[in-house]
Amino acid sequence: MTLDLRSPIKICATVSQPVIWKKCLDRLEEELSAQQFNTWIRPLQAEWNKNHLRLYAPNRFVMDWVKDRFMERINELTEQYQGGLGPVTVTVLIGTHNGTAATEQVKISAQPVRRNQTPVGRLNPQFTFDTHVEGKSNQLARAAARQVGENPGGAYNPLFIYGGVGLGKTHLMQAAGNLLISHKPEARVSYVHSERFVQDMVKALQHNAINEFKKHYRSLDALLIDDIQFFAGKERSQEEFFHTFNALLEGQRQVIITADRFPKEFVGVEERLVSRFGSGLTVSIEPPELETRVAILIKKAEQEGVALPDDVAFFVAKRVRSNVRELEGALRRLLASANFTGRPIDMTLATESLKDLLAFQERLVTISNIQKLVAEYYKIRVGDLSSKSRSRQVTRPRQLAMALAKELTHHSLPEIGKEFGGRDHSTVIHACRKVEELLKEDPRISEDYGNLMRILTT
Amino acid sequence: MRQLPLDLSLKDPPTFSNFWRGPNGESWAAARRLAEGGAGPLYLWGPDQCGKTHLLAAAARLVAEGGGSCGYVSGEEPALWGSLAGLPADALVCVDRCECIAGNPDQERALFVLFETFVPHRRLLFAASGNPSTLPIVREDLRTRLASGPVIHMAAPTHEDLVSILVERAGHRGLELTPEGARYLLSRGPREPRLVIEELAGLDRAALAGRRRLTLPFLRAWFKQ
Repeated sequence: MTLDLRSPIKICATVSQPVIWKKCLDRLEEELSAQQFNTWIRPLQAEWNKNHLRLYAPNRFVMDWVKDRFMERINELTEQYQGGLGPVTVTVLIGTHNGTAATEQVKISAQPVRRNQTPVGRLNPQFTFDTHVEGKSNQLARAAARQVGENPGGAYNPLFIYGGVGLGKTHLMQAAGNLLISHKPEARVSYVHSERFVQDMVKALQHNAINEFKKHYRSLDALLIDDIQFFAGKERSQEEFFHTFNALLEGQRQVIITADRFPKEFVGVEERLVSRFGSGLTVSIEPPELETRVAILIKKAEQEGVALPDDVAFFVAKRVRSNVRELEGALRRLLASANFTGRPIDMTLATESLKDLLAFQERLVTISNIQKLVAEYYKIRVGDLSSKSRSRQVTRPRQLAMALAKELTHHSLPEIGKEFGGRDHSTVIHACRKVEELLKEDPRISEDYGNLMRILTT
Repeated sequence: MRQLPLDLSLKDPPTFSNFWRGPNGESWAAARRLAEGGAGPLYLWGPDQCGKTHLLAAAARLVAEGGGSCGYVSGEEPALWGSLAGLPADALVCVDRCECIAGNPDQERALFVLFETFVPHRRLLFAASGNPSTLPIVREDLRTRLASGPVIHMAAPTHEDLVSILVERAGHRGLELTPEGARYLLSRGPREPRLVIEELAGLDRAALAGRRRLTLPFLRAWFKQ
């Protein structure tokens, strides 16, 4: 789609065309807010063809907006800068070209540039202990974080919290930071994601501002650094962080670190740093158990001013197991449906609104998938699970697979039995009861079951 | 003698009011809520031509028209993350075609940082061909973030839906298009809703020039031209 302006524009033969466009840009940058310029004008690429200026917009939305809002002004400016000689047409279209960029093209960046956005170090005020739900899976980490928030720089320094994604590591870390600030408002507490730390350090090096960078981090009362595993393989960043870390610890200032794994499991991180990570208190966060997931849902709903019925909370919590973030996503989906339809939140609405999510999970978890995974986990053949063998090596995995099938699929007991070599439903019941007992008595079985469950539901 | 029309044609940019809701009313309501100041993120997914881009553009337009800050990028244009420079933390940011980002480590990292940049508001509106669980996203921390708000499926319009859409969009331009006329247009013109709607602009001008209504004979003659 093109827009040909009807009013003829004259061109000045003494001014080069790219200069004309550059002048237009300079003027527009002066006239528009930085946000407007960056959003609508900066992405345009200019191309001259004789007296025809083509402006390439990256997408339809930008093209339409430029046509609607800025074409008149662009027209005026090109006319002004061309000195009234020769007609020029201006066209806005979608696409790119290999010629002169409208402005210096922003290089592919690992991060969106942010100048006036969330400053480094600002904590999210929503992450507090009040908004955090305690359960068996996180109670130790929570207690440690609270302790650190109340007595920073003490025995738990550094505090290292590790666990899978979406389990609330960032929440606890920031809750500790917010608590610290509430006790000591003048404290300089900084939260930074490790990738941001790396990027800022690279920028500081590029701009000869590494001393300011060091000064900023080494003058803090508490540094909260998230997802430290992204330091792997980044030696210069590790080096800088190591010195920052030491400076803070020597000054008895608090460091809180999170990662997706235990310190000793890091690959590509220097040994001296790993040993430092483990020199304070290391605590893990596990995926929340059913009761905690239900409590999380009810609390989050309360925060939205909604009373979530227990049966709905259990329905959602039973199906979304792997992490809190997706649990919240499911709840927000349900609330959006209730808001849109004006219907009360009940089982019917929950089933309808979450049907895509649930259907997807059910497609993923099949008896066949469970058998394959269990066989692989215990290094036996899939066929062994359906065989008549009663050796312990096969019986336990078979019982676990049956229990997982009962827990994670909607198949009936006879259907499950049939998939395991045509066994009777009473065999499946026996397997489920046996696994239930073993989970209480045998830590190894309990760990295996937890691992299998996590793999199947993540 | 043929009358030359003055260019007084109504522009018909994507807005919430000209979005044909059909089975996608919930997506419409959720996107609108976000554009009107609600918290995000919101993730819309569905096949081509179901209206995802329309809703993203409508949301960005609503915010921009109200004087608010907004950004709009597409996963097809990775170089444009820079256009989000300077946006305040409460800006609405629309990211279209997230499927193009999935599997690309640099772009996944950029999207991840986007989440961390726009806290605590996270007024982020995403559109993609698949839901976060089915896209080949490598980073689990990104996948779970994308799924941390409502994830809503959108359905593509059926042929009869397209007929209704055309009749409605023609009405926005003050054109009276019958369902028969719309079916004729769909059988002869492009199948993509956006392109069919664009045809309406040409029809609008032709009808004005010929002082004709959009009858079947007129449409036939127009297509012959």
